[in-house]
Amino acid sequence: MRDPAGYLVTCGGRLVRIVRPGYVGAHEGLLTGPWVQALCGSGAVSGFRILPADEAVALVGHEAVGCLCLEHDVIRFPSYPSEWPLEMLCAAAEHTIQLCLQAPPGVGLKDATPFNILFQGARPVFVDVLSFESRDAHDPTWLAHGQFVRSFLLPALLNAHYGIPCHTTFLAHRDGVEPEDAYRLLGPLARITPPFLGNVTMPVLLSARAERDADRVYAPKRLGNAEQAAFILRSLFSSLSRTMRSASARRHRKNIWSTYTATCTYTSAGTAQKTAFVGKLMQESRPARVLDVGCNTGDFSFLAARAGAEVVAIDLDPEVVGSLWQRARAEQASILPLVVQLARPTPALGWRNQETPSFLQRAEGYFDALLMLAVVHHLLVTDAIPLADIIEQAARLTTKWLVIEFVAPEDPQFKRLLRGRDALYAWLDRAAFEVELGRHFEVVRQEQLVDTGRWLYLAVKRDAL
Amino acid sequence: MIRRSIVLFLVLFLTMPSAAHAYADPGSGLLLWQLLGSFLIGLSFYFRRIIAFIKRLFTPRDKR
Repeated sequence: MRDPAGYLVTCGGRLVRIVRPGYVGAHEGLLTGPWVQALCGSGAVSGFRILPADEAVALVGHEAVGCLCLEHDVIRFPSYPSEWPLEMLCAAAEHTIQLCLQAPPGVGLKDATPFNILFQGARPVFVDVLSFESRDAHDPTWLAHGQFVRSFLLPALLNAHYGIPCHTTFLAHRDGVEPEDAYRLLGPLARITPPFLGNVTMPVLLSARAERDADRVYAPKRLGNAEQAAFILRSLFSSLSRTMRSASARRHRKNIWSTYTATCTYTSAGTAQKTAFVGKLMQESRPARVLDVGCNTGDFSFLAARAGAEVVAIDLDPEVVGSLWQRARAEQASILPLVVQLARPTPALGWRNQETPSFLQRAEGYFDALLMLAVVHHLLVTDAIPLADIIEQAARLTTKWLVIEFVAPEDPQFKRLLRGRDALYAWLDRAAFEVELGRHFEVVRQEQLVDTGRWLYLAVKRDAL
Repeated sequence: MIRRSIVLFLVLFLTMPSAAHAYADPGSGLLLWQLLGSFLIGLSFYFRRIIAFIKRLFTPRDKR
């Protein structure tokens, strides 16, 4: 939408990128060239095919006349930086830098934003193919460097050093963090030491000078030696990559959810029982798309992924989501972990609230199985969401199956959340829970967990029967 | 005394808040910093073989 070279339209579930007439010549050769085609083949860049003119007009209409139309492979569940933990932001940055490093002479990226990346499962994929541009091989500057620093590097550094979760940055700022804003957060020592000295302090101190000499600063640069220009750019990309890796490696805190499975109330027998309950659904019904709400370490997400499902796993804690992403990436599992709080899901963002759809716009009706294990009592008590609303939301998210765990107010974990508000939930028992569940679902199977007194329910949505 | 004054000057220079520039282009400082870095890296291009040789001297043989 923001790129004058082209825009995306969806036509009956097909995704078409329209390159405007004035930009066709600049992009066609590059997009059909061996380098971009090889990247598409390897999955590093979203695959596409160029539509023949008559097919493009039939699909898109007359706005396709004179344009170059690319039909993209669809990544069915897009996610955005406002839902990524630090690890995923760093992976997206590394993916961008690797493309820059691997680009043949005279080719580069004209922008560097996390919105150019989507995740297919845990794997980053570069999707904005119009970002590739022909460039002067003698030019030693990368104009997108500032955007990379603002939208990748500074959010990652502030997350790693100051514990400001990077996904919250993107909820408020589409283009990340300005050096001036980061500068105000830094202490005196941080300002004069790496990595903030070069990425925050010096750019801030130089900005007044740069503004005075803007014409000279932005004038195209050209060296006599193309090899020297390539050497400078390689050094710049390698330096950015090192800084991002250092941010990713920095562990700034431990949290309670990271060690949840070690400290929660389940015994190994209880865990095995729960695993068998979920595993039976996965093996017998083979749901194709599963949403795991409150996924934590993601054990049930892996169970679903191993049964062949495409899984989206959400949790409110960026650290557990980051750990789950690392594990999913290492095991090449079809799991997309996201930092999403169901009680306050990601809103639609951007121009007209239409640039990135809300989490619920993407999720409702997309999944055929929904896992809500050990999560309802958090929504009920911590977020004060009425039970009827929780069940109704579950019915909106899944088209068929629901696995849900009932935790009674007598449960020690429930009591920990109550903090003296016991009277508010005195009405809640299994019978009341089943009445609410029964409004949208029919219970197929139920089982009491031997060690905790909790109940597991497998239910089918009534309109799917 | 002189060294202490230099350190004090550097600390004050680098830690004092910059002036507010309501209409400043936030990217220009980063670009100017990139240009300065590029200049230095561009110089090192001519000495890259010497730099690589010195680096090799300090790299353990099994990691080369």
